[in-house]
Amino acid sequence: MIQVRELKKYYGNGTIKAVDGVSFDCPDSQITGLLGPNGAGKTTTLRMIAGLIKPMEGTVIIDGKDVGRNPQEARRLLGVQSDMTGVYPRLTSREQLSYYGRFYGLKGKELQSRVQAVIDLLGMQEIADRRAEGFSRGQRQKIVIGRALVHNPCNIIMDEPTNGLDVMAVRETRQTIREFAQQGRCVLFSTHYMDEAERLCDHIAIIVGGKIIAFGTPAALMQQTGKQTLEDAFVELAGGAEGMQQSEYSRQLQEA
Amino acid sequence: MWGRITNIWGKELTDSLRDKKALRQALLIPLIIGIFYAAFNPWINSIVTAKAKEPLVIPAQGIEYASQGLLDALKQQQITLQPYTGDLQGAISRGDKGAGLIIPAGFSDNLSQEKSATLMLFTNRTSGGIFGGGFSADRLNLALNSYSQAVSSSRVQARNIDPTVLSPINLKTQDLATPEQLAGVFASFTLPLIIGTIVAQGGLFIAIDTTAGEKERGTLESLLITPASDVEVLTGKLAAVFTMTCIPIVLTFVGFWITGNILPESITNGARLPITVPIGAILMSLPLALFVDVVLMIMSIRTRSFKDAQSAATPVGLGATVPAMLAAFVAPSSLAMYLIPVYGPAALVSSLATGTQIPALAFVYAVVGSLAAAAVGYLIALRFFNRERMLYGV
Repeated sequence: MIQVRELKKYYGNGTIKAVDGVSFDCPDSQITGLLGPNGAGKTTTLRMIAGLIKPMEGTVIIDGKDVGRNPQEARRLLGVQSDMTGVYPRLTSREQLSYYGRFYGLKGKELQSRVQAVIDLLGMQEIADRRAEGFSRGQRQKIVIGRALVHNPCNIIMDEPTNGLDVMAVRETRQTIREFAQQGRCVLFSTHYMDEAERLCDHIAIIVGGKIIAFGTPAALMQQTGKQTLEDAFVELAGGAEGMQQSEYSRQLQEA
Repeated sequence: MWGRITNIWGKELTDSLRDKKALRQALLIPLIIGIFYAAFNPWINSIVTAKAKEPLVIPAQGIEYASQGLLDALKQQQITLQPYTGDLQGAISRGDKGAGLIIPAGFSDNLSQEKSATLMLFTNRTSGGIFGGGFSADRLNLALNSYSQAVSSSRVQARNIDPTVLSPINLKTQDLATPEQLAGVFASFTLPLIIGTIVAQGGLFIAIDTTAGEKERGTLESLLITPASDVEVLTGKLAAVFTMTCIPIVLTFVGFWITGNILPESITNGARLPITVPIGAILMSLPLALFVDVVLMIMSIRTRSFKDAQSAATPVGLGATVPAMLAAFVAPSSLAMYLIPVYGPAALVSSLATGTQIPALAFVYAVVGSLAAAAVGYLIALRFFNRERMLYGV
């Protein structure tokens, strides 16, 4: 379970509020979506949860471990698929997964079987023993997702996991995300695709201008706004005054 | 902790050894530097010796005034005078000719009348490279001096005077240097330069690739998400950089020594470098390489791309080469000077090459100086190893 409390991150001497008091819970066995327009603070929030960025204020607790106080222990409980799809071009997919698995104490046969399990899960058999040089974005994305899963984490963070994937890969990835939750894991992911969020998420946090402006099930958000689709509900919630504020924030961030 | 460090070390080594560029740098640099430096000086020496024995043609005016004795003396030294019509001085000044001789009218008569006879030798040392004007003039000068001495001797002999009165001091010189010492003189200048070059170049590519390169590829974020601590990531990467630096260092000095030993005696004059010199050079270079590798990593960590890192690392190469060159010419005046990174180890290897007695403490100081500097550099690198700033530049 991931618990986020009053996270804050300001840039430019406090004038740019990238994340401004964000709080939400991601329970086990559920998929929590983080939705927001570009520059809303999604990725900054996810990076603070992963311990890559230090929050100015607030705490992140992962299965009882405080990321700020015990980052190494907390990171051990996390599997993070970042939005950077960089891979090591001179290593094979299997070698890359093994490399990451060893950071979590996996070795010998246990490591081999976990790597093989991830290869099977993500359908990477064809690229498993090929060096990653020249891989397509979809193939690289599989490695990125695979290295987040190789240590079988209970908590998974995915930053736009289907971005740039073809239709088949998107379907497979969504199915994999569903399976994670069914296996009892806590899944937190960000996406731009409303239909994806509507289909997958048990709960959705909508972030605009660094603040959570709505949190609930897709049905509850639609009911709250009186809209028929999540997309309409999102536009309703993210638009208006906050949307304008967001646009201003994006401009400031870009300038910074 | 060690498991994660060796994991990073192993991965970086595998990655680098599969990288043709890195491998080329690790193998080619030693081949070029070691073999080139070992062969270059003896080769040049042998060329100079051979050139000195080759026939030399000097343009001359007034050959008709030359005595037969002069022409014979020059012929003995493989020098022939070739008649030149026109402005000889102008041709030499323009660089068309390297050197020329003008024999004034009455030269031969003056000689036969036992008067002082004048010859005019013109030269342009900028013409024709190292075997051009200067080289020709020096050979001609030597031959004319020799002829002049012979004429003096015959004149005093004609007066029943012992010609040795013309040489009040008969200086006999004999070079007692062993072939090893002769080889060492050359090595004492080149080895410090090699040390400076190889420690700076050996780890350059991999130091950049494991830091700025990883950032550019977009893999650094996923590495820093793992439970590996800053110390583990930095130590693992530094260990890989250092290991890759060891390859060219060992190959360079071994290559230098082997090349020096397989060169034909006609080139080396039998000069051979003892094995202790390359071993000493390797042992002194390794701690120094650790220090330079740390510095390269500090520079690379702070940049955002491979190209930026290459630019940032340029002064490191200069910073390593200049003190090393200084060590070849200025010997340490106190033991404490061996503590100075680069300069100390380079000076020690220079002394080692000439067989100079070196106090045991100098070895300790040279190693301790490099290791202490590496330790300080490591702490600075760790301080710069700020995940947020490294990844996102904020």
